[in-house]
Amino acid sequence: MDDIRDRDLIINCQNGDPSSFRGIVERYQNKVYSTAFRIVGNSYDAEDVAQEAFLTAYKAIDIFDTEKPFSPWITRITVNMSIDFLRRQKSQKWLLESDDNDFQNMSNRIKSEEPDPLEKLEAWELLDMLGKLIENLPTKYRVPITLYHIEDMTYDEISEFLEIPMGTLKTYLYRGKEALKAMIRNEIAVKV
Amino acid sequence: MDCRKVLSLMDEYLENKLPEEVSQEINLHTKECVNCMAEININRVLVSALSTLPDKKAPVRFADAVMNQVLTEYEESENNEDSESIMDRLTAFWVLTAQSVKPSLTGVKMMTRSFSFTKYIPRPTFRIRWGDDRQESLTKLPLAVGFRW
Repeated sequence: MDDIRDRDLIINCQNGDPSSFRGIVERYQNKVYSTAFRIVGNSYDAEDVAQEAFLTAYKAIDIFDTEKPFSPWITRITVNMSIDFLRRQKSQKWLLESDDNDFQNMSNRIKSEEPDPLEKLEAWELLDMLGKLIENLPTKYRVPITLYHIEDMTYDEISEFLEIPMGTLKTYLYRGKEALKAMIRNEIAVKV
Repeated sequence: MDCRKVLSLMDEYLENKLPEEVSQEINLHTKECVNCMAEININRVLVSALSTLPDKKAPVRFADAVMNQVLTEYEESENNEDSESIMDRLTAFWVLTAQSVKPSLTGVKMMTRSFSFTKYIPRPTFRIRWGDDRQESLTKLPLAVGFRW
């Protein structure tokens, strides 16, 4: 139903009614902003990138195939623009850093015979924590985790997008999740 | 299969992307290894939580800000089209003729408002160059009229 509504709005835009684009923006603004935020890592830049993504989509609306869903298209534009933004800001260093001290620091878990506190966590508690903690991950872990686990992109796509070998990508994904788990355990320990 | 191998294959295992026999090997391993079993369970919960993370809320008046830019873009493109439309259509006609394409229905369709790629085709423009003394030259004929593709 929503896809049909999207299609009608987009056809209106293609026929020269730019105000129809508001319906599209209102429907996808949270999704686009979240994707940009999780990649660029702060609200100020995320807002700029998200606006730019919508504007780019509008400029290319004439070539959008209305038989296809809009969501993957705008998501792909957002991911592209967010990664471009990071490249411009950090000249790709964020992906090539070989220093893994941050990983070591985050994932040092005190070995204990006690059961892992993560196992006892309620789903809603985990979601609540994850939403905040993922923002604190270093970029090189946060971006692959966002693209793979949240945006549902494949290894091949991400590897191509970020211009990193598949092995490096898998390492970042693994380490990113380890770091997240360590952060959650710390959070639980602080609360107890 | 050892623990290291099991952990390296965990993502694919949780997403059922492994060949059946490899998944079976991991199942066998986790029946014996409590640590790997716990790790897989925790990862299952984590991955599932990541995929269902709620969206963040866009800033207040975000849609207004986007629409301001969209409307500006629309107006600019309209103005460009108005001022360029005659030359665009003329150029389109020349291009079609030069390529021996009959300006039939296709040609007519291409010359309508939505025909935008003509912006990228060089257009003939007239440039008038006046004399050095502008005041004086206003009463005189231009020194030269340039024709540029």
